[in-house]
Amino acid sequence: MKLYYIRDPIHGFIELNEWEKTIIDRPEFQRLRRIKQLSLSDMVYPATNHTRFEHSLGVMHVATQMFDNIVQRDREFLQGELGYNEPALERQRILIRFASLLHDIGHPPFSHAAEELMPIKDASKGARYNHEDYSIAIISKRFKEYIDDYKHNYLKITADEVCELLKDEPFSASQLFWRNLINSQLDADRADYLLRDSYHAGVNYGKYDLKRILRTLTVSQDPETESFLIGIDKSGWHAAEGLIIARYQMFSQVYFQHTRKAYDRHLLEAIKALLKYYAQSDMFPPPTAECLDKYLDWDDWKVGGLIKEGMAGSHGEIILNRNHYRRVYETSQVPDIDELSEFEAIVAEFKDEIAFIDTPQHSWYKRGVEDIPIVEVKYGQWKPLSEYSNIVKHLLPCEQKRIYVPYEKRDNLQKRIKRFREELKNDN
Amino acid sequence: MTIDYKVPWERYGMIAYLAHAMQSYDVQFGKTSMQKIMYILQEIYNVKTGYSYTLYNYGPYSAELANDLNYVAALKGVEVSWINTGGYSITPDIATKTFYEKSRCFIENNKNKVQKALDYFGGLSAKELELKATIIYFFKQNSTQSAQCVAEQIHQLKPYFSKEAIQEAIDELKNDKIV
Repeated sequence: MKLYYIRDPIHGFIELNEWEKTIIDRPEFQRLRRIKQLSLSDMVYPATNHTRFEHSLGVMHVATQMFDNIVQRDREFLQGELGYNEPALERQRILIRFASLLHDIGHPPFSHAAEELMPIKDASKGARYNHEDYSIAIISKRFKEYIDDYKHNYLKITADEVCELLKDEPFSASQLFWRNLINSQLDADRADYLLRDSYHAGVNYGKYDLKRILRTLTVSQDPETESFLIGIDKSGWHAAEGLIIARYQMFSQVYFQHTRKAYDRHLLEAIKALLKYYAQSDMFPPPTAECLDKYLDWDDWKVGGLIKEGMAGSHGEIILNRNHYRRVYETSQVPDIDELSEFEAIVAEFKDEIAFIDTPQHSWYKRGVEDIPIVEVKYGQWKPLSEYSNIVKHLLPCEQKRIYVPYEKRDNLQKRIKRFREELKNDN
Repeated sequence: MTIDYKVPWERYGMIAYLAHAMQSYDVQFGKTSMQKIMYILQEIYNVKTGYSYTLYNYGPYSAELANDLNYVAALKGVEVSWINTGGYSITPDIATKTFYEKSRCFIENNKNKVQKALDYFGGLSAKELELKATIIYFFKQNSTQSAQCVAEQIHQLKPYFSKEAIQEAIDELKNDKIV
């Protein structure tokens, strides 16, 4: 198969084959050029205009490197425990490349900012569809013929198998295991976006030693349950520490940056207004075969154009004029019990004047300090990174809460909140 | 527009309460066990914590619960430590009682349900809980599936459980009207 090489500022050259190029050339994938990776973060970091398109290529590149390194290091385990022979490994590699390439194909305009506008999936639990549901629907309904029926598909790869790597309910041990490369604390998605987002934001926080991580990726078994997992060999724990610190700092400095978070809310309201006007609904169409065209029609260009035409209501105007709501109060990064109670009281007191509240629960980006397994004995004993790294052991999950109001109300409310807090203290 | 915000004391309180209640059982109560017991409480015993679960490496898993556990541990509601023989251990810490007080009403209303669940599942290891919670998850996804079909699917997903062990666990849960 013919190979192609695409220049990338993070990874140098990204290799593609003819089959993957066919996928990339489809309009559904080209749409990702019109979905910004970090929404309206350019209001704060002006160069964050990169898109889901190059991120998707990057994830495929990193996932492949991860897979190749694990195979090189742990071929014996993969053959013995998961029953892989050489053709099966080749097949798995193709599946991982497709799944990582297509994992974000279902994103709504402006990435995660609009995910709250996805329709309800399970009314009994109040759960909404997420972009993965749309990705799976698009792969199975739009890419089937380009995957299953491809002329050089000698290994009989299917779109359904690609979807299995992205689903909440995989049905084989091997796919459950490999899904770790697409969705886990050590996945290719985060590995790419930390480096890419920090590069475009012009910050140094997201940088870590990817090459060392790749060289030390390995497999192990959980001591509590005996299930298989992917971790880092003991020799690479400093690189794993670097990754956790990078993620922590990117969260607090970029993803959870207070102005950026305000624009996420303004976008949400602006898109809601547009959906109401154009689709007579405040939700995106569901990921069904008959609604996919309508859904895929929504991208950043469409939303941006309509905002510019003045169709997105007051929040559209706010975006056009960069006149965002301002943070009027925030807790510390890790509020204690008293601070939580105080925050509840402040919200109750000023509930009619607050425009919105933002919490890390509203952030798609991982805020917690997830541990990484450090493998001490090949295919055996492991310990969490926090047992090696004192820094990681003492990192606390960000649970900061913020209150926002329109700019013109900021000074007045700030003073009143200050006074109210003093009264609360005196009462106690 | 009126804005409302409530700290999820019920969730935090239940995490702290389980750490306390599991002290009575002679098993290692770690992160995996916390995930599975909270899942079973919600799905079988109708203790409404509102977490959403997906099928992850060790069975039903909630990322929100994992975050809440980290946070409650940071505020000393529970202590999460690593045991040298392998696995985490979750035990009460200095603020466990405070979290209980903050969610007293919710805990008291659900105390009997929690006790009933722990009488049945509290003495199980993480591995046993992984299997039983996964069985429950499959039946909750599709209650009309045959036991054989569920056993087959779980064996494919988790080959370290034999078909016999899975079937036995299904029979037990069915006999006791859990699924």
